[in-house]
Amino acid sequence: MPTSDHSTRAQALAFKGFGGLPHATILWLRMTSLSPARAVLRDHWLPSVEYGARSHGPRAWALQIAFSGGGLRGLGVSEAAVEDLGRAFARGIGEPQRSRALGDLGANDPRAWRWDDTRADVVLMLYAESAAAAESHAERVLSMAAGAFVPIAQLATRLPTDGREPFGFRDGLAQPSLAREDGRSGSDELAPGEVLLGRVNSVGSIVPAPAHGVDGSFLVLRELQQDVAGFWNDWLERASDRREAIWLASKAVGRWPNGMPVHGSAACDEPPFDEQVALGPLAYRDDPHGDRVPLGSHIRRAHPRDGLVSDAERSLAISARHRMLRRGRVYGAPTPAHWLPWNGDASDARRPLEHDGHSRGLLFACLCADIARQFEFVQQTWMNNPKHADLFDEVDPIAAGSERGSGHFSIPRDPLRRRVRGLARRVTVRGGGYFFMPARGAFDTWLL
Amino acid sequence: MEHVRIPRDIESRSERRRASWRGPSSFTCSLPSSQLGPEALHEHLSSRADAVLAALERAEGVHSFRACATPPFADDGHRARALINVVHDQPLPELLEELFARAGRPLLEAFAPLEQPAQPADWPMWLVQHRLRENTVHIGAVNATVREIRAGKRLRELCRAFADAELDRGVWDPATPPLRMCAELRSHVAAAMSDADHAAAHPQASLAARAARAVDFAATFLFPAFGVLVEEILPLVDRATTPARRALRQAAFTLWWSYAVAPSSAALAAVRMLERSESQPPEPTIDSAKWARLEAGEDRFLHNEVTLWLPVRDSFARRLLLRVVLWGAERGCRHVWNVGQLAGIDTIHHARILQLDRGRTMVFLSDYDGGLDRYLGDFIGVGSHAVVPISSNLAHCPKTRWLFGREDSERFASDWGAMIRAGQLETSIWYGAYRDTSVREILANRNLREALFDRDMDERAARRLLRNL
Repeated sequence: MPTSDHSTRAQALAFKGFGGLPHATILWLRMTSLSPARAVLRDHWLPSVEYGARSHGPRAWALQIAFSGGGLRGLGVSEAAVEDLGRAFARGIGEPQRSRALGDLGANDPRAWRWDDTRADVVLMLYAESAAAAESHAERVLSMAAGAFVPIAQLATRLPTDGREPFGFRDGLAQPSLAREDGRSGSDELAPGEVLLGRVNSVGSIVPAPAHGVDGSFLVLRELQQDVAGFWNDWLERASDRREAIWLASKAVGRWPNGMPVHGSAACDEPPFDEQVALGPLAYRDDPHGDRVPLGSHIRRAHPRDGLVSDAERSLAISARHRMLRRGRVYGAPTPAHWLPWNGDASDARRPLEHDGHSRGLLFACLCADIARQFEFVQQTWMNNPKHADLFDEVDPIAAGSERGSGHFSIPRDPLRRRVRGLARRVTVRGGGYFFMPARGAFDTWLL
Repeated sequence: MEHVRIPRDIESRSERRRASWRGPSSFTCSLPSSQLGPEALHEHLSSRADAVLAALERAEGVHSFRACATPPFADDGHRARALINVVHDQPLPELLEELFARAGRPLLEAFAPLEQPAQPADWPMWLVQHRLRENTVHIGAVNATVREIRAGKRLRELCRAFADAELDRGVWDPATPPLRMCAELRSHVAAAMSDADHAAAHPQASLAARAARAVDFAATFLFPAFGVLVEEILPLVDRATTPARRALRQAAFTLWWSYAVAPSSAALAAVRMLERSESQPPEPTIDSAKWARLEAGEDRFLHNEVTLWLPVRDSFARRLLLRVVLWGAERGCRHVWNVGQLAGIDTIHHARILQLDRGRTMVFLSDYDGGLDRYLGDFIGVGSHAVVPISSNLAHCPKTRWLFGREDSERFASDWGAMIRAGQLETSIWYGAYRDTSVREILANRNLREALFDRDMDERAARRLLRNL
């Protein structure tokens, strides 16, 4: 049983999203030479990694680091030690059975990705106050890596100023935090063992972790390109006007664009933003058929809360076993304002949006202690499952990669549901990987 | 293949009686091979899989078919065995006739390395001679035939397509009365469904069948140690449909519990003494290459399979206890876990457990919905109170407490998972008749049909039906 406080050993991303450093450059690197790589890690990168929950005064930038299974092996960590961290991590995200489970088929096939955890040994996340500063830090870090690492891919990300992801919906509202060392969790806190290896988890037990893994965390990264013009074209084509298109899309997401919980069985106006309601806990026990938030909607699939089974307490317990800390950021060109149907001229409602040729999307990032139980379970059993919640042929209408879905989305309505049909997949995976964020001290034992 | 006539008395009277109220049935046999070892036999069977699967698509009444190469039984002098399992609707003689009429040739080719009879016509009886008794059989959708399952799916598709079309045309809208919607739906579906689909409707159990079930139910509760399942039995009281029946069940339960509580407690105490006397089990050996092959083939469909070959703890007491626990599990499956769930797990189509080789090996065969990791997680999570008592008798199971509990709660799940993975067999041939249909969907489709053709449908029932479309 670890005795030192996890809040000083784990990398800082487990405790905060670096909201004060809204820009981040993500670098995926491949090691080219072992000795120089160890020297770079030991002398330059590791001393700069931020750990722990407490900030030590204002800072202009921060560094977080993670390794793929291949990266650890390349640095001399034994196969057994890598396997001890977990099978999903050791095997990587691109294994065929994982691709099936995650819906990474067809257009999402890993063979077409820009980067993955077989090509990238290390991922560096450089947080800064501005895009220029993040880019500058990235260049400085890369200059240190000459002869030791080569870049595989690079992505400039940011926290959107309006809090909205590229489709126009407020994101990150239901964001849990890490609970205390003793595992007692508040209303929206995760037990430490749900994020950090070797700590008390949501059922009050500690799953033994190898010494080099304690207080480390798995980082799942996925570069999700979003076809925003196509997304809104889909909804506008199926609606009588912009107002209805917004309502339909909101039903698919589960929240209105401003973050308020969605409601209504027919098109209605978005309610004014109320922070207490939007940020407050959602409950589905009084909405068992999905009349407010449809059973197949994105947020209800991703986190069923008290609405998974008829017993609300049991449902909460099941849901708690599969939660993660999300740390994603958007990337790419901002969404043109006139693409969003609440902007623009109503007379334009019937003219299809034309793609502007720029890439944009979300770098999905989550921290968890058990990739299979948390990330993969949510994807396979809830998001990509056409039979989820007693549906028959529908997968997540926003983010699912599964080709098992029909492209339909059902909106419960009295007496007979409305079914939106023929929705295309508007999110494409361009990169992905399972990485491990070691805790302070893990470097000492097996890297140096 | 030539038509083979099978004697009708190969099934016992009790089997036929049970099949009248509980189906589908399961047939398992183990066929020896002196030619090939397990790996080579697996390769051979796998090479014939496509031909067998294509032939089985034409077979009637077959829910699933499975063939695995297994180690030999101890002391039987063979190199390997082929474990064959079929889940089927029809009586066993008719199943064997059907199998050999539709798939005889590819099956004979698949079975070529086995100790086969000289004449192909003798094959069906040869399978019967090597039949194994299943200790426990769980059925997710009780009495759902293959025909009913497929017809139910078609029914739902017809309903949904018609509903969508009427909404698109503006014939229906939210103001349309639900009863009118259901009436038009019923007319359309009745005209569109084939005679076979109509005939596939789930029949009401005959009086004789219900009587047989009642006798079997009563016989179950004569065994007092069945009281260890008291937490599962109590909800039977709540399943009563009227207050009078509920009161009657409550009284019957109270009476029965007064009879069962002492023997059940004594049984648990005896188990605890046994647990305390045993040492820590050895860790299982996991073949990494085999594990990688298994993972590569997993979760290909919505409806998947797993086959486990697990050694039992090497003691007479454990072999006996396993037999008793499996007897209790079988009775639980017949009378308690018979509404779509096994101890809270609602993704199991069919699960069979057999104790073989003079009790030294336990085999688990299951067809389930979703991914294997989630399935195993359910076993050790929500369904653990059914799974742990069975598992506790296995050679590599972590130690338990009082039959249901875990001695080392931190390590139990991971060690139990390692045991399962170590015992997993590579299934050479697996056929599923409805790989895109879940258990819950089968039951929902049955409810849809019953509701749609209910002559006493009222507005409330109509709204409920439409909501489930």
